[in-house]
Amino acid sequence: MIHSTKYENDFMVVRPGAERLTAVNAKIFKDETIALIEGGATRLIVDFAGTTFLDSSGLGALTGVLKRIGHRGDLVVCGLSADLQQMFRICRMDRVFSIYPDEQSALRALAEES
Amino acid sequence: MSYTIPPSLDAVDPLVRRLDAELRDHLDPEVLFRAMLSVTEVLTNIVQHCQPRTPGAVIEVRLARNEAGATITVFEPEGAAPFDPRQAAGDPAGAEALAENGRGIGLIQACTDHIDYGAVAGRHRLCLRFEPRDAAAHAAPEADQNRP
Repeated sequence: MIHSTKYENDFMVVRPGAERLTAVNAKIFKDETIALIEGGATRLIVDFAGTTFLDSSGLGALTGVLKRIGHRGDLVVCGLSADLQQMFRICRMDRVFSIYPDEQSALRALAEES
Repeated sequence: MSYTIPPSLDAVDPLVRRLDAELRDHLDPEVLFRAMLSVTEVLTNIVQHCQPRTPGAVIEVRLARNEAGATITVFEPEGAAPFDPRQAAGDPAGAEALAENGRGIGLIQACTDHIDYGAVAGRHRLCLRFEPRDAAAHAAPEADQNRP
């Protein structure tokens, strides 16, 4: 389901691979992303540019991934549409996740923190 | 306008997409997203928790539009245990920021302008009403108190 691209400095961009991330596919997204973490990925950028809808199941999957990374690494998000930004605001997830406009700005920000 | 779906997760998204298409020109984009999110959470909750006892029971969804906005009425499957989301504690921001579950009811409450729940002709139904314009987005700006 997900698509991932590895960059230098061990950054991994993960794209959910689904226009809608809901109860029907949230677990698959979570399991596949966690598999990347178990494989050694510690600096994740989840790019939601191709995702237009996210419900509580999708958000729960994302927080599940964040908990799995824990203090071992970073997880940031980018590419949120206006709808997804609204979802993050309602659930106060804009206080939990660092949010960037797009993949390149997220990569730059994480590289500067390194 | 009336739709029926089986109590299956696979049936939820196609129905929500149809509702989205019907309401796209009727509600502001912010309201439309809140409406689709609310109805998605309601339908998912019914599928995952309502456990209808009648074989072949379906979920019925009715859509009504007028100048006051849109009303989405969800009739629970026959035999399902009643569940009134207004009586459940709900804050989608929640006490635990990293909770993986439990935001659905809070989202329904936060995203819906008016919620009604009750029995009609022996069937439990949830009414979600949405005003066509997002009140916060269209609030008049406060006067600049620093302006001379």
